[in-house]
Amino acid sequence: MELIDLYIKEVGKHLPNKTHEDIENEIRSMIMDALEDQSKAEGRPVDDVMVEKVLKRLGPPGEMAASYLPPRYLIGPELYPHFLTTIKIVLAVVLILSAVGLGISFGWKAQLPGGMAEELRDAAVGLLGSFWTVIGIVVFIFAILQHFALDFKGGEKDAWQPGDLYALQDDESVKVGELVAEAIMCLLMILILNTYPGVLSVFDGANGIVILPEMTAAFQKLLPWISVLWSLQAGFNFWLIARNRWEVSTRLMTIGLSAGSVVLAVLMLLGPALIQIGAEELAKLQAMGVTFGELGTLADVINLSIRIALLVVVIIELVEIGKQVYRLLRVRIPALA
Amino acid sequence: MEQVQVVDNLIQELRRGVVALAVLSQLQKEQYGYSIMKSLAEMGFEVDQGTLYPLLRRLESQGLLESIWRIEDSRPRRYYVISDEGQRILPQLREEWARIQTTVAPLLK
Repeated sequence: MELIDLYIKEVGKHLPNKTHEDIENEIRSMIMDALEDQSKAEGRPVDDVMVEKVLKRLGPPGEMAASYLPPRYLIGPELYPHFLTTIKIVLAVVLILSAVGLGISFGWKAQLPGGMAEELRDAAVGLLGSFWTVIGIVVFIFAILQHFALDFKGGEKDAWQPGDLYALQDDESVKVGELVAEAIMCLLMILILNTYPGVLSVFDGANGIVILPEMTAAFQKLLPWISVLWSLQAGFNFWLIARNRWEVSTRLMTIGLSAGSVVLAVLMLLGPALIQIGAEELAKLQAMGVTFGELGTLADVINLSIRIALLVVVIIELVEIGKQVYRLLRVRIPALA
Repeated sequence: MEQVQVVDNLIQELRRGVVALAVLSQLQKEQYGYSIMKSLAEMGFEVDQGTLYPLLRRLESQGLLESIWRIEDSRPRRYYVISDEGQRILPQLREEWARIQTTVAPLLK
């Protein structure tokens, strides 16, 4: 009965640890009953041909195991639309950041030997790598959300009222995709700025060297506050996803976090330069024949890009504060509704 | 072939709804899985093992059946019987089935 043992062992591989022994015993009992029946029907003892016939009727081990298991999803049907939204947002952000990085490279590369074609090629390869990395991160996060089986249906069916549709029109729904995308960006930036700042380097393909701009003392002083703010933002986003509805407390927290972002962004905008070319990098560049004037251009381009990004952040966060305040007041002053 | 597959799937969906009712109705006294399958087949209701055995476990996890392992003829078998909760809901299922039959029959004329 080696074939029966092999079949049961194969089924067991697909079953959860807690129940596999019990199910395997049951399947063995089922097979033995079927063989006894088949033997009576054919009027001859059980042999290998009969065993094969019975196992063939049961079907492949994987299918037998699947019949004992509930449907299992890496990302279930309720989460999937939010997953798609998150992927679109995150990939768009990666594309924009890569374009900005490429623009910075072109901005100072125009004055150096070496081809822009190589720069484009390197940027394309880097972009592809970034795409796969963020897709992997997003899938991982959604798999965790699926595992903890958070309720994304928006509550019990009986609690739903048609009037809730007005809330959706007014943008009152918790946008899971956007929240997850923002949380991922926050966590990634914390990781990059604190642990792997080399990711933000400028790669000179023509000369095969990596130029790593340094964070100035001014930036390093603010980095812990930036990290704390982004950590709070990511944690808040996951908490809001778990709550799955906007309340006064969540709106107030959003206002607080946005206000914190505005304060930090303004401090950085009005403060000294955030990025500089360090002594080691200067030496590398001078060895390539780059002049001080060209170095100045690189640093200026980088710092200008950062300041533009900070200004955009301030505007976006002020708009967000305005939206949340309006929605808070609208709840309290029905005339505004 | 595709049309045959569509029909097969629809028939399976029709049967899936009543298999639980059929199984519960046969478990007033203890039976093991294979004997349930045989007794249903003798009454014209064919259920394959791959459907029946997981269903029995599911009904047990829902509290509608109870089970116990017994050794007979030096072979272990798992015997199932309807639980008190199963006894309570079986009449409701029977009523619902009768109501469906009464409602659907005129539609099919």
